[in-house]
Amino acid sequence: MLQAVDLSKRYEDGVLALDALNLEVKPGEIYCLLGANGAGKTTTINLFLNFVEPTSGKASINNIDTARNPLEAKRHVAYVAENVMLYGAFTARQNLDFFARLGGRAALGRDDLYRVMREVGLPEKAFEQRVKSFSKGMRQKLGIAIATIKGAPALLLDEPTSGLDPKAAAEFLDTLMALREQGKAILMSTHDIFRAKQIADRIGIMKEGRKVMERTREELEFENLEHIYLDYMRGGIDAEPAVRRERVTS
Amino acid sequence: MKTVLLVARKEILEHLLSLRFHVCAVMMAALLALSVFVMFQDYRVRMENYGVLQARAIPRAGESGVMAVVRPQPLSILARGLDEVLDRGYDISPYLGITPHDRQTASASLFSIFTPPDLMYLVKVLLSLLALLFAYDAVSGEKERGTLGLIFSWPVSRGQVVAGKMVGGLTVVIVPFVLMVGALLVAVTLTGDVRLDRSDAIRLGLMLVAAVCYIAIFFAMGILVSARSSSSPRALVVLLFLWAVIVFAMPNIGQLVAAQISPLPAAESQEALRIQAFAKNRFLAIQSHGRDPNGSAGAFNNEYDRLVEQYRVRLEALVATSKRVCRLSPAASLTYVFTDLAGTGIGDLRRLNAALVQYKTGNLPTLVRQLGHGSQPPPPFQFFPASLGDAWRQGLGVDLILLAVMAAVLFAAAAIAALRTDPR
Repeated sequence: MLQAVDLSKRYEDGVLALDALNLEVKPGEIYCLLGANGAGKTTTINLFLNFVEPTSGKASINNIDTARNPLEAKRHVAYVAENVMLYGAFTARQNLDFFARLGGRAALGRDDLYRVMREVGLPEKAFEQRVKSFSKGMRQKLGIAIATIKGAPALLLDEPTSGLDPKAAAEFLDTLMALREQGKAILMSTHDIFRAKQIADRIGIMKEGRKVMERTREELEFENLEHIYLDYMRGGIDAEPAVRRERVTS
Repeated sequence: MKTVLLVARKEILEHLLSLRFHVCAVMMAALLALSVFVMFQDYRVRMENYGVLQARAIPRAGESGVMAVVRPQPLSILARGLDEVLDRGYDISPYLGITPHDRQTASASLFSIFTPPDLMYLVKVLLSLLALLFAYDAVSGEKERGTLGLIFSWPVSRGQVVAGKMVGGLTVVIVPFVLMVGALLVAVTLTGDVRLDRSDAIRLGLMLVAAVCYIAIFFAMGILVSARSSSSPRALVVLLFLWAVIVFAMPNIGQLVAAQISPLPAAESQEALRIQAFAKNRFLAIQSHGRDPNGSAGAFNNEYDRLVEQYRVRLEALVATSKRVCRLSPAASLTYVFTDLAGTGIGDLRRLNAALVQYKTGNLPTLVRQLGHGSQPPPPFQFFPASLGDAWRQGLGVDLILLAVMAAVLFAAAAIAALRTDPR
């Protein structure tokens, strides 16, 4: 469903943010990208969303090249940002209604919108409240509601549990697991090793623009993810060729 | 199209719920009401003045000349332009030529210090500023808030989003403006002091079209700068600078440049030449012991008409150059459109001057005989503002098309800038 083939991105300032990334997320699978800040996790998501153009390689969603046919590709993917920011002057329902219509689902009535908000665990009293009064946890839930109402088979999440309290994070992950049950392909970037291990079917560790390790849930039953991750971050394990951040100098 | 309307609807709702809209709407309503009220009072005073002058202007046998009076234009309430210069009395004499009375004194003497607060001024200065206030954060604000990335993660083109923002933002500024102006004009016409006919209604409609294009220019410019700026405050600073340049600097610099290209002698030197011609011909008349008073009048008028024609040709050249240069600024084009439509523009002044000379020349024998207590007075002077067709040919069409083209070009530029915007 989500596929990156030799995907690379070098920004205009010369920084190589992503270096020949290969990954695949299948339907009904949660793939977690772990890594420090600047490892290339967000760049990967931005490339799938065509917010930036790849320098080389290809990102595709449902076999549609995101660089060549971005609008068609975006029909098959939904996105939840680290900080879901919505239109503060609108209520939760109005925000959801706007994005539902943007996705061509104008026929959804108030009850349908309420049902979706209920499914993601948003309290009933918040449905008609202005979003500017929402906590981060509530905004993230509404973000998931917006993503699910799109009905896309793939989901991109950029550190969605960052800054959430443990209860809100747990509820959020429950929703993700429910979406996996529905057959969604989910790619999530995160710093949270514990939660990644809890929900991921596969985990990739990124360092300085490269994917340096990938393990399945089954493989991780016999390994200590925390130790592996920390070893990579400390530079103790360098299984891949020289990992580097380069700057073009004139 | 559906997406454009959807984004426009969202923009309208968002603006309607904002404090910014409420403050701007109250300010707009207050200033428009003040403008129409003040200008209406001023018009009434000028009409009273016109009534007094008109009674004195009825030609009578035995008088040494006649007075020409021009009626104030009802649409001068919206664009005063040169109305203060136009609607005064002119003494027409076979020996003194055409002598304008003093300018009419405006009812609000503060007009002499401040710019008359007519609709044209409000559109030119206030509404352009409001358009920028509604547009400066259209793209950069959404980017800062994080909503731009969310919108662009949906299958919508950036051009559609910009078009929706344009339609929504313009609706929020223009609809209240048109409704307020319409309501105020209805109120003014209900007093019975201002009569607007079908032609005035068309002129008013064209003024509103020009105002919409003008506001669209600033709105598109706002979105363009917003899409290219890294932050909303930075976009606002850049836009305020551009606004000052376009609204105030460019028209004035344009006039300076035009004066350098096509210089014009001072009006006082023209008056000195007229007095010189008058004195010379009176001297010749006295020398001839009054044997040929008609010949003296004819000689003076020939000399006078030559001076007027010389001045007219140079003035025409200056005006044409000035218009061409100043049109680089949409504020200048808007001024030309409003004043041409209101009958208070530079073209109307030129037409009036030509009509006065034509009247004097056509009635010269009658005026000379009248001086000799011998005959019927000439017919009263009549002047009508340019018809819409004439105004269109004299430049109104160029300015309207220019405003529409500028708005379209800036909108296209804003859409291209949005295509390059990084939504992260």
